[in-house]
Amino acid sequence: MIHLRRVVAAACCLMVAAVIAACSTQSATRVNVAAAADLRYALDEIISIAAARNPSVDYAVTYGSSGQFLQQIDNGAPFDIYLSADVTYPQQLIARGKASDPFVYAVGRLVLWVPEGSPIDPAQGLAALSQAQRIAIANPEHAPYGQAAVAALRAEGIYDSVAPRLVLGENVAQAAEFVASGNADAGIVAMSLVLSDPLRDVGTWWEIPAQLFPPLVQGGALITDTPGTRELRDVITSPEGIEILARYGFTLPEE
Amino acid sequence: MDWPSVRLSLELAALTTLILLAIGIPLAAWLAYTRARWATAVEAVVALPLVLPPTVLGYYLLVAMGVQSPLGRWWTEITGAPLAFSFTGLLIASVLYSLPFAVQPLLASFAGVDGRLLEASSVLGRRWPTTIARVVLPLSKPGLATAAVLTFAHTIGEFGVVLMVGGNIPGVTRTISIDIYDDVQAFDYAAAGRTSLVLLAFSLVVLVAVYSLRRQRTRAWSL
Amino acid sequence: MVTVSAQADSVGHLKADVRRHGIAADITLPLTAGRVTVLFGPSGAGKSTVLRTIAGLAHTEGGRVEWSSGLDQTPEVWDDGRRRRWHPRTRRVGLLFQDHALFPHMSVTANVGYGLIGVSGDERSRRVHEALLATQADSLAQRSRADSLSGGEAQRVALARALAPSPRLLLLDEPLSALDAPTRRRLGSELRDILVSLQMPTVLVTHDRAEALSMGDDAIILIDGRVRQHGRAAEVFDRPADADVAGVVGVETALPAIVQQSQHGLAVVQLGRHLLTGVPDRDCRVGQSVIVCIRSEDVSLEVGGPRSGTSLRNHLDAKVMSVRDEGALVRVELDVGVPLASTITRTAAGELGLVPGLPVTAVVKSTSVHLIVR
Repeated sequence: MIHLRRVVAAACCLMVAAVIAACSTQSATRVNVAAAADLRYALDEIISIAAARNPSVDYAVTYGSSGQFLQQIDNGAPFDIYLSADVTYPQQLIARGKASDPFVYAVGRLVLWVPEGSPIDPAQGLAALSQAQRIAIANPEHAPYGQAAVAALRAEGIYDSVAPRLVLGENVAQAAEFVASGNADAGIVAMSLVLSDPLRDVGTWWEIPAQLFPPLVQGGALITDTPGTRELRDVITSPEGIEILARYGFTLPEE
Repeated sequence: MDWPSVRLSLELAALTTLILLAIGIPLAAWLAYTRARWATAVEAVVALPLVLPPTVLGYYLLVAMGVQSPLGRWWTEITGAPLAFSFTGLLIASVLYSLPFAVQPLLASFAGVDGRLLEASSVLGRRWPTTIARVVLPLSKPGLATAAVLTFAHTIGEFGVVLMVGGNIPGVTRTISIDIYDDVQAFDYAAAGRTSLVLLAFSLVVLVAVYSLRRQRTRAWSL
Repeated sequence: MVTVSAQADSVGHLKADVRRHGIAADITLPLTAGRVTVLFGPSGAGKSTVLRTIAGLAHTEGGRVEWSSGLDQTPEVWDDGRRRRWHPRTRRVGLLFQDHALFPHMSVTANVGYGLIGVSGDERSRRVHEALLATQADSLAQRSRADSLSGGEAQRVALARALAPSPRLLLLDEPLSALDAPTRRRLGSELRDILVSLQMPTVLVTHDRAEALSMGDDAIILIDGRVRQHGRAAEVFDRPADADVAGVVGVETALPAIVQQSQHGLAVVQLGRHLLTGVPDRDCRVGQSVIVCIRSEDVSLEVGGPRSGTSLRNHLDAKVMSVRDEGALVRVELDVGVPLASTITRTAAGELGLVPGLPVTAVVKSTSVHLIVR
């Protein structure tokens, strides 16, 4: 039987502990990073390098849709550095005086991806989508990879037939998750995600030709100009950073 | 298990519960005993978070707390930091979102106290605050416990409002529920599964506690 | 406005003109120490509403509740019939509910001391103890939870709680109704003694005739929210003003008498020129005054001379004063030296050949003669 007093006592202990914990302050400097969803695994590696070089800095990353971050930062969300999948977003912030020091760090690539064991053969290209019942892409309203996917579908002239079967993920990582879990038969997602460890053996992919969509020029900007943010930017754009990005399929802007 | 998220969720739930008890007791007492005709309207407003999608609440909160709003500007002036996407903003959102979970059990408990006891207290010379404190509250222990436990558990489980108003910032606004969401997006199903199981067990324990409290209350009052 | 007759030592009066929900009752009570006014009437008559309005738990719309302490001091307007009312706190009245309304989670002493605001320590314990003593509940002082008390015990403690803050007026709302019969009898007789010892103006609401007669000095009859009769209790019950009141009062004959003998649970009283044997409601002594209550349907009639009564039956020679048809029954007014009412069937009346002036014998079983000991 549950005694009233014991429940109340336990609850109070929990509350006290929580409040005490709340009072403890963090000693390291915090850098909040807003990063496009397609950077998830590549950026993790880059950040460990930056963190190793700056032990006093605590890099906390939030992955999401670039467009959502734009809105949030515009409304005062406390991010310190913004890594977008679309270079024009940070430029908007700079135009409004909310960011500085823009830089381009990569060009993203788009793939058609189907889960393992699917009858759909991605090597047939986008035409293979006629066999798919649910196709996942990132939400084109705010996610650059979603916009690129729509552009590619239109370029192939199949957008109208595919549109009713589209499943929208909040960001390109969620779109990939729909495919990985089998909830979608196919998806148009970022190459960097399908090359990552958790996903590389989960499905088969085919790169969508770059001429079918506007280039995914990925750029960032500093929201707060501190040694921590500058250091991270430097690592991303350094040779080591470039090498890591390349392993995930990113190309450099000049190429 | 992401311990900063766990701690954050516990802090948020604990503070929300304390604040809601402080606000809820007077509010529930007023609703239980007032003769004002517009009390029904207030009761309906209090119950809104039960029926509104969290996104509606989140939207209005963003509008009310964002950097362009008067409240947001005032807050930034005072603290230098924005109100939305901060722990405080999340706390405000939680208090509003869990309001009916605190007020309704309290209201039911208070309304169930024998009216003659309140009249006796009045005739014996006590004012309303004393009557509430010395007669109503001691006889409403199960209601108080239910309100506290439900508020705590409900806040732990918040997702939609937190996502809209919080911004998923680790250690600041990334609660356990957001954590699970994040893990799934990172294809870390193992972590998501672990955290989900813990939350499921926690919710079950909470509900068992609440329901056995309810039965206790019935017994006590049939003496 | 209706005034209950005041005693020479009255110290003021309480005027309560209560108008609300179909009630329009205007009563004035003398605030005489120890004087008990009974508010009597059937359920729904509005008695409790009047009491609650006096206490401040209800308000009157367009009436007035006023306390005058006598002399030339300004009266306290407890309720002006519109918006201004005194909180119960400031009226300093004590209220005893029908079902005690003790705080179940508090101890007996905490309950009794609840109204002692600003009193602490020894003074507090002293007053709590005194109050419990006054209601003969001092043996209950150690009880830690009020919800463990029996009905009778709880009512005593509740009365002590009402008395502890030294109120200037005591209001009792059907204090015995919620108790079982044996407890009601026991507590009822003790309550009378307690009220006498308190020496406080008291208003007692009841629908029980025996309670009203045993405890009330004055009575106000309330029917359907209106005052129908007022006066000394014995008079009101003896001479109802009209048929409605008579029906409510329930007793066709209620007369004062003096005890002549008392033994074995029976008492002999002198009623008019007759000696009557009846059953008193508690122990009584010779010379004590009682009220003789006889319901008319308990009075049967015989023609022929009076026979000596046994202790089981009273035989009274009587003369028929009037005979009135009441449907299947016949109401006969008799004169046995004092008025006596009898109700018999029409058949019986026919067999007896009742006409006014006829000498008859009224027969009443002793068990039907209820003596209410004052």
